Amino acid sequence: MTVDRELVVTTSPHIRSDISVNRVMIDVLVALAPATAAGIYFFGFRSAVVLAVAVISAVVTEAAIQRVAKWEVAVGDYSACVTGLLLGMNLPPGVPLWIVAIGSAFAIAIAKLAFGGLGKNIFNPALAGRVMLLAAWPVAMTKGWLKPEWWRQADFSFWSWNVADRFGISVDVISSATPLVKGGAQADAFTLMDLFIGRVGGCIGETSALALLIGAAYLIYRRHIYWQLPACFVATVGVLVWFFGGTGGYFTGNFLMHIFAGGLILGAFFMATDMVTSPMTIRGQIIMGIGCGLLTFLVRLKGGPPEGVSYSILIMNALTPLIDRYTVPRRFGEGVA
Amino acid sequence: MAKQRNEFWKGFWDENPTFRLMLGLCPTLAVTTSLVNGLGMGLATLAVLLGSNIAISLVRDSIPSQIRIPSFIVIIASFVTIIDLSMHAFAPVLHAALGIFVPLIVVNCIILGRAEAFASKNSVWMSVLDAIGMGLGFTVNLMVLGGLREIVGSGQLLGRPILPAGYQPSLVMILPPGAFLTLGMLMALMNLISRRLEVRRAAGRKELT
Amino acid sequence: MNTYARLSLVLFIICAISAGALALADAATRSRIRANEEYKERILRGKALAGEERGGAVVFDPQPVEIEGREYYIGRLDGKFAGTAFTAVTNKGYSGPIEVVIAMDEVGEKIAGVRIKSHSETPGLGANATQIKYGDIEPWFLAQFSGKEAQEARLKADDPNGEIDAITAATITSRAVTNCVQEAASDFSQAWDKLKVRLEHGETAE
Repeated sequence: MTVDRELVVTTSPHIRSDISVNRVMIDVLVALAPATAAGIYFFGFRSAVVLAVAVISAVVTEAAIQRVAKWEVAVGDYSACVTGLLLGMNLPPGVPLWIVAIGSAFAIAIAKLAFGGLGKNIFNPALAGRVMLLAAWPVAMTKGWLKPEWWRQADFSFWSWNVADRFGISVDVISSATPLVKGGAQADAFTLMDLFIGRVGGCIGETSALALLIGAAYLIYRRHIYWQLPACFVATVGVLVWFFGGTGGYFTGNFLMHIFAGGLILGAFFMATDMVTSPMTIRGQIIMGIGCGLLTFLVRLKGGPPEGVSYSILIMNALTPLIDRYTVPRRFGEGVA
Repeated sequence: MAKQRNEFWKGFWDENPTFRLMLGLCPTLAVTTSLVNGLGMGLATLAVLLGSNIAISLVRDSIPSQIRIPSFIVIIASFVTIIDLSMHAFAPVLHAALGIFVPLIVVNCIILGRAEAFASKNSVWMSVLDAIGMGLGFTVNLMVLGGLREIVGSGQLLGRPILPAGYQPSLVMILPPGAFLTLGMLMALMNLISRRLEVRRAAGRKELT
Repeated sequence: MNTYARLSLVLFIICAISAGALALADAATRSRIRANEEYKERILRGKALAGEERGGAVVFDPQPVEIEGREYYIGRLDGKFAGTAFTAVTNKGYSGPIEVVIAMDEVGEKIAGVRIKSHSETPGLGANATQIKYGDIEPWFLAQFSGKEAQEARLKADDPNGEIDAITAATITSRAVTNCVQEAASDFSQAWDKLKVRLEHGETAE
């Protein structure tokens, strides 16, 4: 029997793996499960509906466009599910549902399919969708913040629906829900432990660093992402904030707060590492991580908006082809120094 | 007569400056936040194009080819400045709304492009037709873009609310990204229609033979 | 003739004709443009002082009174002293400086009104500071300042004594304009003492 095998002639690549798009996407969904559960726990049933609408809208949009354009309908690879879920996790829990549906449809139709579909998109579709929503409906997108575990308060239950209306909270107070906000009213007091577990206001899936890190560990274990990019991203933000972010001179910045607050962990581990839109080599990924960290730091401390993770990842997405070009691995035996 | 008709109409579809030749995108993207701005910018460009096409066509035989580009630029810049000054004097509100983009008509590729590709090789009458066709085509483009962006981005048309009160305007459409999104979608729509027409024409030809 | 000389001559003639045309156009429009600019400034000051509808009726003394580097324009309605208008600039805007025209009433105590002369805020957000809602007459955000004392010109979100509602999703712009008005109106009391003396002696009419 070994004789047959020796005679098989194939073209490269000769090393095959049993990894398929399908399998990767299922793993990503599994990795996102803890953070999804944490988000739903903290922000109630309403956030689960937001996530569901985001996923359904993404899948329906993909199927509809691929059918109309007479392409192969590739909904079965779960990539639209991942995009929808990631977008939903990046939205405030009280956001109107029609905004969620439009954002998901935009992410799939414009940011993914208009560029040619999975693998050909330049920008992370979920982030493109979120940034479009932020630019299109800034009021609605900054109004939907909810306090963690609000449903434990009297008159509310886990299943309560019109939360934002019934709280009657003014826009100014609520827009400062994230601990990173500059000037104006301050958010409620919170401890670092609250930040780590996720007991703070914010987007549905971004608050619980603990749950996100558990999921990220699974992805790293399954070798779908490498630790270098997120580590460089987080470390760059941390070091820069420690250096320059303090009010009492250098080396006084509260870097732990900046690492665990906002969307940094979610962005670094699940968005920046997107296989399609990040560099191919480890060296390139390190460059991307540092670039993302630098841009995030600049937006957070010097820019107008309180949070800059989305923008920094999108900008580095645009630079990815360039990074890939300059980090092509040296071929064996070529250009020996 | 057929040639003249063709020179006039080509600016609207076959050689549409914005969607086909991809010229003059800077003002197209920058000023089309409302229908009125689009109309104003389009007409200003039309006026400059008409003036420069006539002037260049008139002197086309006396300009040596080595210095034709500087000559064209001087002529175009003069017309732009004249239009700029007249708008500042007689339409101050529109002038304030269009701002820097009126003087920037100088570097609008449509104008130098038509001067180089058409007016310097054709008679005055043809150049006039070309200028009006191209200018009106450009104006229509800007009005469509501006109108769409105004409706979606602010729920208004000509400063009047036209959509039901519950409509939440999508601000992104009157910000710069909205210009790119609208332009891209209109271009896709135009390509789609062209392709359909092409298919139908091919089918018609087959029936004839 | 030498080729280069010929080329230069042709280019020179084209430039000369263009220059002539431009000179003519400039001569034809210059006075009109200046009148437009002055009219715009005057109307803006008038609107700040007397509101959107009566703004055009305010007559300003041709020469402003200069006190400590700031120019104060004396406005009169029907020949009577109606208030003072001046310009202040803030750099705290979201995307660039904002020039604010502030008018104080005829006793120099309260803010008569506020208008924005120039800004580069985001369309649809900060730019709504100058928005006049369809069917309204006054710009709703700026109209909030009319009749307020200097210390009341604070955002409700920033100060319990504040009387000003911020523009939705444009707190930075609202705060910049409001604080600029508040500071300028507070400083005005010093200038007012000198202005009053001049007004009583009728010196400003010169």
